[in-house]
Amino acid sequence: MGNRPTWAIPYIIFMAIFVVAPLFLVAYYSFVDDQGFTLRYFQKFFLQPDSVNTFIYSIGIALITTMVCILIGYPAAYFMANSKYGTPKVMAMLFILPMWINVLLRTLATVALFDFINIPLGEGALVFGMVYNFLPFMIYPIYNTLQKMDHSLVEAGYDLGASPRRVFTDIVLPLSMPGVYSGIVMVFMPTISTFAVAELLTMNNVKLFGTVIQENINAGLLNYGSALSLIMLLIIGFTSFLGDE
Amino acid sequence: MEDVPIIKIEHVSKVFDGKEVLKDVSLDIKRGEFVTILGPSGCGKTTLLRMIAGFEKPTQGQILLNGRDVTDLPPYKRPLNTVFQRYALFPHLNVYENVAFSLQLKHVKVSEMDKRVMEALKLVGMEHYSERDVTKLSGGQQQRVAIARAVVNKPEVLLLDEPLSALDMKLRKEMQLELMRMHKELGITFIFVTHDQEEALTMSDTVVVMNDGLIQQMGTPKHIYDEPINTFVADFIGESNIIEGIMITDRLVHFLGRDTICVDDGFGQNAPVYVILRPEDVSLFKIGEGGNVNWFTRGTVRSCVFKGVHYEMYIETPTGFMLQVQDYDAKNIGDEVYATILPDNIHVIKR
Repeated sequence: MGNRPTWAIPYIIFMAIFVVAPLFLVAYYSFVDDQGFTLRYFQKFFLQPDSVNTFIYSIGIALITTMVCILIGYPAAYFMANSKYGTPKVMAMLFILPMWINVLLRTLATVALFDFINIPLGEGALVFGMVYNFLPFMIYPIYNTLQKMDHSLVEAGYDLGASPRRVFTDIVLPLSMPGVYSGIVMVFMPTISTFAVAELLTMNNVKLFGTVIQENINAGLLNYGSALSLIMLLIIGFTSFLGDE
Repeated sequence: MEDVPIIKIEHVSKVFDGKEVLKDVSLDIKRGEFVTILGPSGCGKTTLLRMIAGFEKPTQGQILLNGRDVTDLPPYKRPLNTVFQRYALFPHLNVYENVAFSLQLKHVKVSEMDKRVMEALKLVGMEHYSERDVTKLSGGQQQRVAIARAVVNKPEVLLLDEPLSALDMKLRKEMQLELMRMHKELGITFIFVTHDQEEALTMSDTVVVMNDGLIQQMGTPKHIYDEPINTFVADFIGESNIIEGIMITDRLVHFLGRDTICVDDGFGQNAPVYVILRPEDVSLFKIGEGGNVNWFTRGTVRSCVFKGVHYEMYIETPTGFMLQVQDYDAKNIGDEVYATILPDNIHVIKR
């Protein structure tokens, strides 16, 4: 008791070995070759239109997934936060239930389902699969901010002459933006580095950035793979920084 | 127009989940009055206010505003504004933007809006805070901004839902006086909901006492204090001794084992009644001192506590009743005393 810092030691050791050290290794391998310091992996990336295109394409897919998640997730969260009795619980359960199953198994099942109802796999299936996987991460933070919002603020809006539409656009929406931001960070970050889901849902026809990294590392191009990972980390870091603002 | 009540509540009932929180309530509110709806928590006072604001719909009955039926009118179409219990200021807007909210919705011109917002802020003494973040203000300051926001649109009626209950005692007294000043300056109708009887008596032109979903009594503060219509009102407004008695005949009432002369009549012969005595109306004389007094009971002093201005004492009568008395002179515990009261201060109600 009273000596709280000692509790933190196991966590610090864990994080040093499994979070900080790998990050340093990634950064290190990105900038060295046989002759020492180099920028040639980054040069290679920017000179290969293929890699850059995949990168931009991945960001595009991640953005679309995030947008779709907002468009579907916000109304769902709004409905859940505003309904009475057991409805929100049941809905939350339905959204969270698929998460009990491993992502890969779920994706395989989605592939089988698409096959069964004769929907071709590809980009559309990919976006569907990603939205399906990440929607709960969008709904939950929005639901949470909406639910915690003081209902008298909504009443104050009506009282001051705002129609239901104005109450939503002028009060509810701006006050729920923190939830939307954390939803964006929680959906955008993992989608940008997805690879297995993409491979399965597009029969390897669509290549995402995560796949490129995986291929390079599997092919023994550790330094190049590291450089690509670092670029991706910077983008993710940048979005989460935006989310904090 | 003058004699049409600004708000007329006609036979309004409200049922929540099978529980009747308002039972056939009818009430007229006169233009320009400061009306307080007073009652313990759960008496239906807040529900009544929320119905006037439009946040709740009556299960039965009608609400008229200036003679027009507004029962089904949504709150954003009613010319009333509310000061909420916990202020409900918009945290994403600053003081100015909060106050300007309703004017912006009406597309009031910027120069006109500036003028009116600053007027409203000046009314509540917050004109130097317009650029402040509302979340950084103290409770009292937030309260003032909430009032400015509610009056900026010049509503015909201002509804106040226990707005002072979160403030400390000193600030509350200060705000009571400020609200009375604002009421005078604005000249609009105030409907104020509170459970604090002192607040109600201090501020209002008319007090409406509610309990159990019913209006118990309505009148000026003095009338309600002096002539409570039943034991609930007598007990809720100020301190009271409520004693069971028998009205023997006109102007003669029997209580605490003795017949005492009073000024009430019209109850008939031997009618069961409650006798209500305000503790501050009772005087005590030590037996053996003060000579010949016209006492209504004798008793023994059981406790005596200093309350700042007066002493609060409990006197045990021979019938076993604990009579509460407030006096400027302390008596010793164990003293045998006579209790006296002016006949005019004996208040009798039907049992």
